[in-house]
Amino acid sequence: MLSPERSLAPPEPAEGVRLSPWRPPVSDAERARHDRRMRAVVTAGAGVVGLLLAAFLGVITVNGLSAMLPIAPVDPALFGEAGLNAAESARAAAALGGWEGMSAGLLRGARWAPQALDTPSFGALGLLRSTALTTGLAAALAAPLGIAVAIYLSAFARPLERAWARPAIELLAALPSVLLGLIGVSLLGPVIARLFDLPSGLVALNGGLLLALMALPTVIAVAWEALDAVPQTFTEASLALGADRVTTLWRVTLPAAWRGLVAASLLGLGRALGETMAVLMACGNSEAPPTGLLDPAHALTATLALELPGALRDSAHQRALFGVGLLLLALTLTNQLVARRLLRRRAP
Amino acid sequence: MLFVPSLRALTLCALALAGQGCARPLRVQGSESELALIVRLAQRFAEAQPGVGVTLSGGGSAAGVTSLIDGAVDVATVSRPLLPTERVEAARRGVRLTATPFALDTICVVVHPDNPVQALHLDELGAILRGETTRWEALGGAGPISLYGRPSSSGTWSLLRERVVQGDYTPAIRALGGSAAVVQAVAADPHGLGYAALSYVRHAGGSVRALGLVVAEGEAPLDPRDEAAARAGDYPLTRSLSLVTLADPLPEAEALVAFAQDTDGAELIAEAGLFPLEAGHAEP
Repeated sequence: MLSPERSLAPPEPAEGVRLSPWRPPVSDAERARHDRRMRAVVTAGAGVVGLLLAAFLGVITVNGLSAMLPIAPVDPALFGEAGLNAAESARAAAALGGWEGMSAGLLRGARWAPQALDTPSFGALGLLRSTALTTGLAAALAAPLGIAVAIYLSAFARPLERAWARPAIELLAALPSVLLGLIGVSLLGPVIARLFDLPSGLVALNGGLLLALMALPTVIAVAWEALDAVPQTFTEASLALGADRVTTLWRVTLPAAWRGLVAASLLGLGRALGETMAVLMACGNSEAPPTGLLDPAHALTATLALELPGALRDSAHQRALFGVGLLLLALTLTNQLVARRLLRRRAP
Repeated sequence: MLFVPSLRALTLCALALAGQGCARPLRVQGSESELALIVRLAQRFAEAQPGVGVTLSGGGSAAGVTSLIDGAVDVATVSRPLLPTERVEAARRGVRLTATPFALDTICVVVHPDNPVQALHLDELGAILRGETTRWEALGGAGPISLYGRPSSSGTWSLLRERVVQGDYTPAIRALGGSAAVVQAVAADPHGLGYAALSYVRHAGGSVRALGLVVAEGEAPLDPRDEAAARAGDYPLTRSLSLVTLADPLPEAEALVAFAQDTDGAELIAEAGLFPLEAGHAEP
């Protein structure tokens, strides 16, 4: 809409500028009608998105809650109907009705063996440890590196470097994770195997390095923005008092931007937490919980991707995987909320 | 060799559009071991049947059967017999499943080409996969054994467990997304041992070596590429690949099953390096 002070008459053309023929503006009534129509479309769109979000949350809650409840045992008559012998029946009963609820299995046991022959076990601690190892390494590498790059770009880089850096960072962020997984399998893996004298490079370290690469653009972009948001007057005042640029950086800029920098690291961590394909391809996915970065890891996300398609509905395995999904959701959500909070309450 | 991360996420679509509009495509999901073959089969099928589109995805035999019981796909491709749990689940949901074997496949046990070990006894293989034997020295090689396998949704995984492991796999074994990934990992690891479907091992050329398997003491080791041994059921890891449908399938699903069994299908199966089965063949 045009502001009321502004004249509706055609502006004077500037020297040497050719204007298209001036058309009279639409009437107020017509404009109001357009506004109403547009508002209806936008409202409807927002309503659809709201409904989708509500449905999504509903499904997650229902499935997540069901993961915490025990499953009713299967009707034994069905075993006969399916033509199972006694041993098969016992195993099928354990697999289909052996879920004692989330607290009993998921959060206490270290052993993840959902399809073990006689005693399936659903301890997710090993999966949590795998995820902690890979994403922890990613954050530990990406946060300092990313913040360092952001500091350089914000405080020291020449305009040309800045102009090149932005698309380069966006390009890194746009790399498909399956491509990074491929790099992990065929380039990084052999290097790691040779460096550490391992039989195979499909280990937690490999996934952690790939995740660091994936988290890096997020960290750089958010940290860059946080540093740029520090008022120019702060640095000017510091420089005017005789501080050099490095002192200004350490004593003025970084303290003023610390919330944004922590948030940048957390958002990078969040990127790594939810990543699936690269860790699935590069980490090896052994059931044994990793004891260090040179052991294969079995991340929460990779477990879901590998096992959920084949888990029968209402089987103990499926319930356990829903529980794993809930754990993952809780981790990413907490991480996001903390990061958002930090970003919102930035120092003035 | 190109590594194909052929998960469910990577859905291969072979679409044939009908002249006027596209009918709902036939949905096929299942075994990663036969995915390469099914892709070609479905392409040829879609060419031969104008108006019928086929969508394909992997995820493992268990994923195919689970989706079939759920009504999410029309045909499941399965590389092992149906599991007791799946039969119970089908009975619980009031669904009847029909499996039609259409090709013979063998599971190959592969090692690095530099590995001096040429053959394993079935019991030795079981001990390795259970984690009881952890070094090559006991078998005539050197160094620790590193193991590569598949996740529990894989038909190859469950068949090998039933026939060889007869217990639980060692938790140290790595679970990779497909036979191709296993072959690639073993090719890079001089101490590696893995299992993969025959067609992927043939495709890998000399980058891995398939071990001969000894069934009974004193007998010659059997080669997984030996068609006669596979057809006679002598090679211990011989299996039939099947197409599973509901007992009253869609006409298109029925046509796909028939197509896999006729001469066109047989030609493609032989091209993929597997052994075709004629209609009416019994489970080995």
